[in-house]
Formats: sequence, structure tokens, C-alpha cells
Amino acid sequence: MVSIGFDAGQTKKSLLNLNLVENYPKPQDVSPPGASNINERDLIQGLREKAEWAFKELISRWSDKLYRLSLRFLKRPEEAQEIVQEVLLKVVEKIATFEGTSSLYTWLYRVTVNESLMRLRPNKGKVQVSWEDYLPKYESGIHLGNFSDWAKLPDEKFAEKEFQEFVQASIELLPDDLKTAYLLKDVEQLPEDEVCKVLELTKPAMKNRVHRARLFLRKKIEERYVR
Amino acid sequence: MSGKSKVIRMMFGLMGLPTCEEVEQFAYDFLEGVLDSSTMKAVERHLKACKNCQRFIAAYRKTALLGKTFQRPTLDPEFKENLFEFLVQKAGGKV
Repeated sequence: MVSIGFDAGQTKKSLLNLNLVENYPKPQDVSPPGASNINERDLIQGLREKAEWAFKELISRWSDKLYRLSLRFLKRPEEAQEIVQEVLLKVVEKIATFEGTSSLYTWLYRVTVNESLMRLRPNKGKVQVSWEDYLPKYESGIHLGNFSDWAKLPDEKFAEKEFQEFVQASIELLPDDLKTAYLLKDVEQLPEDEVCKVLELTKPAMKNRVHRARLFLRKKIEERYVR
Repeated sequence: MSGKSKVIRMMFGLMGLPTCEEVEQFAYDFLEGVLDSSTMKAVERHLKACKNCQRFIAAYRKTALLGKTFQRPTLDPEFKENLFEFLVQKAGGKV
């Protein structure tokens, strides 16, 4: 729990009545990715024994997830496929020496992120933005200027291809550390603890990255669709 | 500090409420529902009094949920079949 020690308020109106937090997924609502009847220990043992079912399970359980994550970074399906192949090959080659200090799940995501970022770097060439300019401005703790009400745009707008492409292009403008945290937490919907393990971050550091990414994207959407 | 900001800050201070900047800093935990109850209520009371922060939180929440709406592409089944054969071959597995 996070506390700053405010006195208990006298409000009688609930948050749900303010319609600000409904539908937001609570941590317990997030199913752990990769759930199946075969537990990780058995899967690792099967891979060590080079059993057919274990290879099938490895691909069935992880390949789509790793592909999606890599594709978010690289944008090119062929390259994302190569990453999946490389990462799963690493698993097969190194499974005998896999010590299990982190879960296979964490290891797979971490390697996929690292491999994707490594590929991205040589041909990065993206437009650099001063993303701090997109953070809210305050004067002694009070907002400067007014926020727009873009959350009230019709739902169809958010589903439009053009809107989604704009948001994804905006994600591209984020620094890698913020982008990675946002993709894992808000796009791939990994539980917080797993995001922390994959990125080797403390929870406050992970939250801070996701928060700043959201602030940036919120402002980008406001600029594009409201003003 | 402008006169308006000074008055608003004073008002929130008198009410024992967080400032807009503090509300922004609580936004992540607010949506996760992990603020302690007194802080949650203080943020809630601030939001009742501050339309601007209501709009901010609504847009922030929407931003956090946008990722769920993105397409979730999957690998071609043929690619998976080839990948299976590739891995088995590399491992010298029992197929």
C-alpha cells in the first residue's frame, strides 16, 4: 500500500461514482500468461530430455507472445519471426545449464526484449523528441492550463486504424526504457512483478517508467485529436 | 506564482488535500487501487473539487487501457511447424 498520510476524508461519493477507475484491470484480474497444465519444471525437464512434447509446448506456449512483443519493437514480421527463432533456439541450446534463478518466463521475455532492442539500434534513425515537454506543467503544484476531455471521444475513434497507428507511432518516439516498460505492462499486460523481473527493476522504478510513458502518450493524443 | 494558483493551492491546503501535481504522482497507484484508504479519499476529494484533474485522470486511465485494444497478431501455423522441426533438428531431439 502507498501512503502519504492524508487524513481520512469525509466524502461519501465513491470512486466508482466518479467513473474514473471502473473497468481498469486490477492486478488480480490479470491472468498469468502461458498458463497450461504443464508446469514450468516439467517443461524444462522435457526440454532437457529433448522430448517432442516439450518442444511443442515451448512453441505453443510462448512463440506468439514473444512474436508480438518483438513485433512491437521491430515492426517487421520477418524480423520478429527471426527473433522468436533465435530466442527459442537459445532456450534449447542452454536448457541443460539453465539454473532457474529466474523463471523461464522471465528469461524468455528478457532475452526477447534485449535481442529486439539490439536489432533496433543500428538502424534506429528515429526523430528524437524532447519527451519531457509532454509532461504536465505545474505552478506550485497547480496545473498550468487546462486538460482536454479526450477520454470522452467516441469509442469508435479509439478503434479506428488511424488512431491506433498514431498511438503506436507515438510509442516509437519514447526512449527505449519507457517504451519497453509501457509495452510490457500496458500492451502485453504482464503482471507488475513480472515486468520488474524482466527489466530487473524495482517496482517504484518500473511504475515511474510506465507512468511517464502514459503521460507522454496522453499529451500526444490530446495534441492530435483535440487541439 | 500567479494569484490564481496561490489561491487554489491555499484552498487545497486548507482542506488537507493533495495538490494537482501530487494527484498526478498518485495516478498510477490510484488506477491500480493500491493507495491506502486515506490517500485514496484525499485524491477522490481533490478530484471532486478539480475538473481539470478529473479530465487528466480520465485521459490517463484511457491511455493505460489503450494497449489492450491493440491488435494481437499471431504466428503463421506453418512457421510454427517449421520452427518445431528446426528446434528438434538443432537439439537432435526424439521425433
